[in-house]
Amino acid sequence: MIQLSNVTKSYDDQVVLRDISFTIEKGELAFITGPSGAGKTTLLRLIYRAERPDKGHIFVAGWDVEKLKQRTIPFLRRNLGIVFQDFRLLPNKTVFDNIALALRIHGMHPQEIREHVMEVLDDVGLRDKAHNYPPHLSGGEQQRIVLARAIVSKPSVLLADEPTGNLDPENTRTVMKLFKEINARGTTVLIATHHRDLFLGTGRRVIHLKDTRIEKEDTG
Amino acid sequence: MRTFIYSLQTAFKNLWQEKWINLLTLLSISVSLLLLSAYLIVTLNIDSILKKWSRGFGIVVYLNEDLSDAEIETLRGILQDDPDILKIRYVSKEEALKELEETLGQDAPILAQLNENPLPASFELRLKEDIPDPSFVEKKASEIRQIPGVEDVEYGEKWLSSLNTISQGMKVIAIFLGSAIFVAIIFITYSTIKILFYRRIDEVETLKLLGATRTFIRLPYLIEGLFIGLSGGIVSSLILFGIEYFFTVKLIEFIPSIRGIIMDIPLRAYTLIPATGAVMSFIGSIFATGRIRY
Repeated sequence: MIQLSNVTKSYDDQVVLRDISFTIEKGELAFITGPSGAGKTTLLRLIYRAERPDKGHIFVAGWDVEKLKQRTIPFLRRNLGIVFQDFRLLPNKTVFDNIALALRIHGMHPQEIREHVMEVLDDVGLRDKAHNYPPHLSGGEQQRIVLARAIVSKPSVLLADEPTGNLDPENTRTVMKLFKEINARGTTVLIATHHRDLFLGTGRRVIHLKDTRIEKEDTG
Repeated sequence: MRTFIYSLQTAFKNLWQEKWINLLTLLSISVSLLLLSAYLIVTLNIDSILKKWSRGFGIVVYLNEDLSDAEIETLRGILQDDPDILKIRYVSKEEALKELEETLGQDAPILAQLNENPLPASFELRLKEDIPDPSFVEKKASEIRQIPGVEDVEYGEKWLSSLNTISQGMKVIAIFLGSAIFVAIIFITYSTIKILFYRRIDEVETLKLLGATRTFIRLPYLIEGLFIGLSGGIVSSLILFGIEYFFTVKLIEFIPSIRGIIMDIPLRAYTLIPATGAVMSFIGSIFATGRIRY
């Protein structure tokens, strides 16, 4: 589902990622870890084509990411759900509208949008917050809304960049449980985190980045 | 279609959310368009007055004394074949004297002292163009002067030259002012939409990550710009209509002599002003939203 081969990326002559190769299979849930500045975020940005590699090839959900033209990038991203540490919810739109936005982009019928959004709000347990505005929700609730927005269009891949970075342990557990549920329904999930607690004891594949390279791969 | 409806809803929501900056932009556009329209109308009115004055303009071709009727007819034929000449009037020696007598009025008996009629026969020519270019008339006059049987050619050089300078000058100013105002409208909308676009840059970034196409992202802003320009134009048209009403209905009651000078504003102009505003603002919005890169 996600394949990187010999990917190198540098900014202003400073190499951030060097000769990275790995494959995430369809339906897998995997982690990328490493200290701050190890290149985790850059790796995700390369996958959703916010950056281009200097060398190497990237394939995501059947797309040759490197060869994508600007106008085709949106169509790659419609196959991806993206979750950020800082949520990136729109404060002037209700929870419902924030999630619905992902479907409006697809040109979906308003009635269908309503059904899908309420369904996904049920999944994350926040149906009663549909008409609230994000700033009135707790951090944990906001992250669950972000997850809901990321999965409402049923993407084949879910990418998460430090998804629990701003959450307390209880909310972290809730969010991680949701990731597992989403993965159990067949979505490929790739989580970048420096929190060892997230993957230890999960039995999932963990890719360790250090000093711009893949240091090792093991199971958490 | 659903995308368009959603963009329309978003555009009007945004217009309302940022109503003061949008209102200010709308008023700036309407004042700019009003200035341009007012100037164009004044120019058109002056042009129509100039054309009325210039209707008396003509070239007078004086003929040699000893021309036979056949030679005069040949000359008329040559002039008639000239594509630049609209009308020819032959004034015989006798008619010229009669016209002079009429002009002199009470002093006409002075002419009785003359033993013979000193006035030459002539052709009075009207050119096709109302306010022709002076150099063109000069060339035409010297061409006619070369025709055998022509004694001299006269026309109001200075008068024509002044009329032409005024008319050309106003046209140049109209083009300059028009271009300046077009650029100004584009720039006014550009600045507003740019501010609004950057105020919502987080939203734009989120939309990009969710897989929104460029059209989906830009459309609300383009609609916003189009609406502001169109509304500015409509306001401008309404004010202009008020001014025209004042001049043609109210002022004419007090100063009836302006009736011949004031020209009615064609209905097309009232639709053209909002259309101009809309197009210019739309162009400004296109520049403002720029090239979206993912």
